[in-house]
Amino acid sequence: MRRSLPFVIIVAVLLLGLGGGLMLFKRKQQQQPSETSPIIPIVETTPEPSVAPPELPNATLATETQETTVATETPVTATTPEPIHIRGGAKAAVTLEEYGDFQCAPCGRLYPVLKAAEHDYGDRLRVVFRHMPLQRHEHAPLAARAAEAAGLQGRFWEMHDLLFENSTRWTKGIDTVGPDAPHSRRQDSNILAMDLEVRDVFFRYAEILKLDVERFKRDLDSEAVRARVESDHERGAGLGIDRTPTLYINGHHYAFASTVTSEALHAAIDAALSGKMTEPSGSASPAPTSAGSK
Amino acid sequence: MTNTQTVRGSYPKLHLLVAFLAVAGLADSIYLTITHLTGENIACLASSGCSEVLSSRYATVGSIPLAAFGVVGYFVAFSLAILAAFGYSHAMILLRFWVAGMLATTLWLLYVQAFLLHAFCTYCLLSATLTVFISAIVTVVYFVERRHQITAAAPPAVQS
Repeated sequence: MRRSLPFVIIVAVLLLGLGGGLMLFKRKQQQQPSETSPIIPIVETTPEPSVAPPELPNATLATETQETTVATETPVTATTPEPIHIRGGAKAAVTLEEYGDFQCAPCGRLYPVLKAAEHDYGDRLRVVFRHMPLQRHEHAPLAARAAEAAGLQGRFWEMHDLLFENSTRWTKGIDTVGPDAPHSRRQDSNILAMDLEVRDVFFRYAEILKLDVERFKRDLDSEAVRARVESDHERGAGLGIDRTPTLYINGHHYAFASTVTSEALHAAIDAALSGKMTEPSGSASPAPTSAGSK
Repeated sequence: MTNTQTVRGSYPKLHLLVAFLAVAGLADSIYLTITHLTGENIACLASSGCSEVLSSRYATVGSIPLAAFGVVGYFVAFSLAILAAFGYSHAMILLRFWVAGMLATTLWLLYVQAFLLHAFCTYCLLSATLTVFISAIVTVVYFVERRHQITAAAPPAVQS
């Protein structure tokens, strides 16, 4: 008995490990966000483009903006934020809804993948962005409000792109932008900037986007903008979303495998295009009628 | 008992302690592997700050999560420690080499977190702590055993 006892213990621990792992796996799967996101707005009612985007000073940014399929544009005189932010083909067969956080590194890594998909699929794809600033990201709510404040002047997506492209900079208080921006030693630090420093960077971004900076400053802390961010967050929380980025393709939760690759995302979009992924049954639920898309 | 087994000098308590710590490491690694399989590692979780580390390119070898290697590592360490506690001397020797490999991997991963990623993950630090403790115990066992061997091999003192 004594000779076999160590082997019995080893096998017992092996079985316990396998059983425990399996139970944990099942439990984690149950904790995943809702399988469907019910509200996909109908954009056929959205107005035609009212204004053209201005020339941007940064060549890289301007090029990326031109690549975007412009469907509509929020009037620059908007006093309330867009109820939903949509970019891509107005009658696209595939809608990709992202719950994102501008300070989340994986969201930043997803950004070029999404951008490539937008470029590759053109009018067949539209992207919806929802704010899901996580509590542990101290500057994420401010960044979400910066995007909304820019949206009030018709530049939500431009600010969205700036924030994701430069997320390793503005979180450290560095206000240079673009891929050719000089490297800062501060970037190598693990220390985040103070709130005031980040605000200054966002004011600089507003200048880059040729926004009315004074208005941007006011809007950044306005109740309307805060409520707009909060409404997206509440919507995400209602779906059980506890992580970013969380994606829905045609209303179906898109579970990442191990990495978010262009190939994997393209395969999922192709599946949606070929009709293997249909709209969820709840998609007919109330949708904003004045959805501004770009 | 064969010559590969010896109850004497197996230090059962210390090896059982190693086995206990390895089980804790095994649980930690299983948790991290499951979070990888469910896609949590490539997202920012509302409740955990590990995503910077676990979503990095250092967190996988090919498509296999590093945590899965941790599961294997801790399970083998546990098995060898149990066998050593029950007097299998070969297991004790193998355990030393195995733990040395685990410690080297741990030190490399700590370096990656501190100097390449500038971010730390609590679960990874827990694993590192457990490995360091296991290594310390195995080292102590090695030196105590060596001392006993030297004492046993020494010629009896000549009385004048």
